[in-house]
This record gives sequence, structure tokens and C-alpha cells, in this order.
Amino acid sequence: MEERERTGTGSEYVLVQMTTEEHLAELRSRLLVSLAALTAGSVVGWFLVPGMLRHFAQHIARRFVFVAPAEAFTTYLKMAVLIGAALASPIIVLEAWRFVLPALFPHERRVLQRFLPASLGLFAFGVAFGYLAVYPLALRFLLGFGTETVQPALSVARFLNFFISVTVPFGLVFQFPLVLIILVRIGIVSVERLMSLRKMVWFLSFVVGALLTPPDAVSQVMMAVPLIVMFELTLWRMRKGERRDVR
Amino acid sequence: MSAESSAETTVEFQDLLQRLNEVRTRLIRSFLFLLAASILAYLFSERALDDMQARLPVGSEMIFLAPSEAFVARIKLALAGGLVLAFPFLMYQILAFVSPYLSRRDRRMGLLLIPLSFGLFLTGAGFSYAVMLPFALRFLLGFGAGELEPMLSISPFVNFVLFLVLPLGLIFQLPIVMVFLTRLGIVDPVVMARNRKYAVFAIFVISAVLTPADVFSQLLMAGPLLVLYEFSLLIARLARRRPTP
Repeated sequence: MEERERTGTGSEYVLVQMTTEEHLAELRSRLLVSLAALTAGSVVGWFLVPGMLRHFAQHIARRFVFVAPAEAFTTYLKMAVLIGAALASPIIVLEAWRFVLPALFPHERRVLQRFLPASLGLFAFGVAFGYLAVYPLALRFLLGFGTETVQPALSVARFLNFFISVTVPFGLVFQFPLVLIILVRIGIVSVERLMSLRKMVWFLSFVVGALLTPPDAVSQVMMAVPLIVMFELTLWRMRKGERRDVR
Repeated sequence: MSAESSAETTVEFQDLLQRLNEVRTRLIRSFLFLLAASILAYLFSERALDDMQARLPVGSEMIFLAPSEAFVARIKLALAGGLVLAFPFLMYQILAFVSPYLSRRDRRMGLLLIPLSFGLFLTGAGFSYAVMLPFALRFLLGFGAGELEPMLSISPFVNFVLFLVLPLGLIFQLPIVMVFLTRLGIVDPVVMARNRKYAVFAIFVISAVLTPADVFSQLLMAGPLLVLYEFSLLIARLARRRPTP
């Protein structure tokens, strides 16, 4: 359909020519496959919800309540779809990857091949960190404010929102090193400039921590500290790399 | 020439003033009627609430989470009840306002339409309250097993009931709307039958917007709506078969 000005560097590189209609048809079929995977995953998820709720109930050592008539049902649905998304994510990522691949030049492809696994790994790591470290601590901290006369009766919908807000944002925030690397590679900022911005970055880490987590100090700090650590580690790595280049 | 036209303008202006005055009177009257109806409804609101709670499949005890919640829920209930009670009167006010512009026949038809419309509203709302509500509650509270314990708060409950009951009363006005649109030639039963699939789609979207935010109530509303669509189609066919004299 279109002639490419730049040519690929790789010898095995073959430019696949497709018309717009073919692209759309492919997009359609890939979306359908992804949707089917999500649906199937959600159906499986629906049956996993009771077990998950039991698991959560153990963490708070009591049963959940629901205050609106439809709350239990909508929470069930939401959890089922979340589990479904998690189960279907490999298929969805694969479909997206296959769709994008023909549009890329070999060097672009190589960059993406390096960054995509790193990004997914960091996301999984962030979510795991949120679930294993932040969630128990934040929950204990917050429930600790209950007293003899102030008893928790946690609404299940709100609990789910809390749970999501201490796990998913960590997956997103843990992309920080990649963002830094890309910004430096493209030449938007230099390592030296980042160094001079250190104070700012530290401060902003705490701001981001406050914004993206539930309003408790624990999860805020637990988001800010990894951000700062990642910033420093990335900078240190890149400086080492630069010095090697100079030599 | 100019004097004549200015005199005409004055007459027109006075006419307009008169109409505005009438609007004012009718608005005030409607408001007062609405207020009276709401006060009346308030007197029955406690009993109505008891009755709603009796539609719950399990224990009908309820809580309120904010200090003002129970009061606000009662007021909301009273206003909704008042609106329903005042509905025919409000319709009459509108009809009376436009009646100078209507032919005798249309005026008579309008007067006939008010009780018909009110009857349809009550049928729709009553159907929703008597059939859909217990069904929906039984299904939704069926999730109150295992680790989930129902501890219904009054305000969401009242909202849920109102949003299930009132929209259906409004939707039951569809046959009347259909007759009008067919008579005016805006709607054609042949086109309606041909575009059925778009109608089905629209019905599901409308149901999603009007009902409490769960798929189940959406389906519960979409079902009767689909029946109503077919019913309207039938009415439209009948209305068209008899050409206007």
C-alpha cells in the first residue's frame, strides 16, 4: 500500500504489504480473539471469586458486608473480569504483538523485543510487590485504627477498590526505569540533567505515592521508596554505561 | 401604516404578557399541588418503606450509614410518591395551557389521554414493583452467602427501588407515543419492523442507562421493553390501518 523510504537493515527483513482492508480485517480478528479470551477467562474467574473472597475475608478476620442491593453482584462481576483479564493477558499481549510486528522495521522490532518483556516483568513485579508487601501492611495499619467502639464492617465493593489501588498502581509505577532509559536514549534528558534534578525526583516520588495509593502514609512511603531506589539504580547503571562508552 | 403596525405590536405584546401570566399561575398551582401530594406521600412513606423491605427475601433489617441518610431517604420517597400522585394534575395543567390552540376534538382526546397515560404509568410501575423488584432482590441478595453478608443501607435501597420502578412507568407510555407518531406519519410500522435490530440495540442501551448499574436489572428492563416494542408495532399497524377522518 505504501512505499517505505527507509529500508530495513536486517537481511531477513521482508516488508509485508497489506491493504488497509486487510489490516482492518486482521485487527478485527485479533480483537475478537482477545475478547473471546477475556470472556473465557472471566467465566473461569467467576468460579474463582468465592475462593478469593474467602482468602480476603481471612485477611480481615471477618465477613464482608454489602450495603447496596446490587453491590455483591457487581463486585462478583468486577472480580471475575479482573481475574479474566489476568488469565487472558498472555493471549492479549501476544495478539497485540503479532498485530504490531509487521509494521515495524527490524531495528524497531529489536528495541521492542528488549523492552516489552522488561516492561511486562516490571509490571508483574510491581503488582506482586503491592500484593505481598504493601497490601498486608497497609491493611494492618488501617484496621489498627479500629477500637472497642469503632468496629469494622467492610463493604466488599470498597474493599475491592482498596485492593486494586494498592496493587495495580505499583505495576504502573514500576515502569519508571524504562521511562528513564527511553528518555535518555531519545535524548530528551541527559544523565547529568537527571542528576541535577535528583531532589525534584525524590520529592515528586512522594507526591506520586500520595496520589496513586489510598490515603494512608504506609502505602505512600512504600511507593515513594521503590521509586527513588529505581531512579538511583537506573542512573547508576546508565552512568557506568556512559563511562564505558567514553573509555 | 407605522401607527397601525405599532398598535398591532401592542396587542401582541399584551397577549404575550397574558400568556406569561398564565404560565406563572399554572406553575405556582402545579408546584403547590406537587407539594401537597408530596406531604401526603410523606405520611405514607414509612408504610411504603416497610412494604418495600418486606419484598426482601431475607431479614428486612436495614441500617443507615450517615446521620441524615434515613431522613433523606424518606424525603426522596415522599417526593417520588408526590410526583406520581401529582402526575395527572400536572398533565392537565399543560393541556389546559395549550387548549386554546387545540380543536375541540383534540381537546377531548387530550382529556381522555390523561387517565389513559396515568393508568399505563401505574401499570408499568406496578408491574415493576410487584414482579421485577422481588425477582431482582432475590437474585441480587442470593450473593449474600459465604463471606458476603447483606447489611443493606437505606439510601441505596430506596434508590434501587425507585430506579427500577419509575422508569418502567415512563416506558409504559410508549404505546401512546407510538400512536401519535404513527398518526403524524413520523413512524411507519413497516420501517419499524425493518429496523428491529437497531431497536433491540437501543433498548439495551436505554435499559443500561436507566436502571441501577448492574447487568441483571438491565436485562430485567430490556425484556418488558422488547415486548412493549412489539406491542407498539401492533398498535402502530392498527393506528395506520384506520386513516384519520
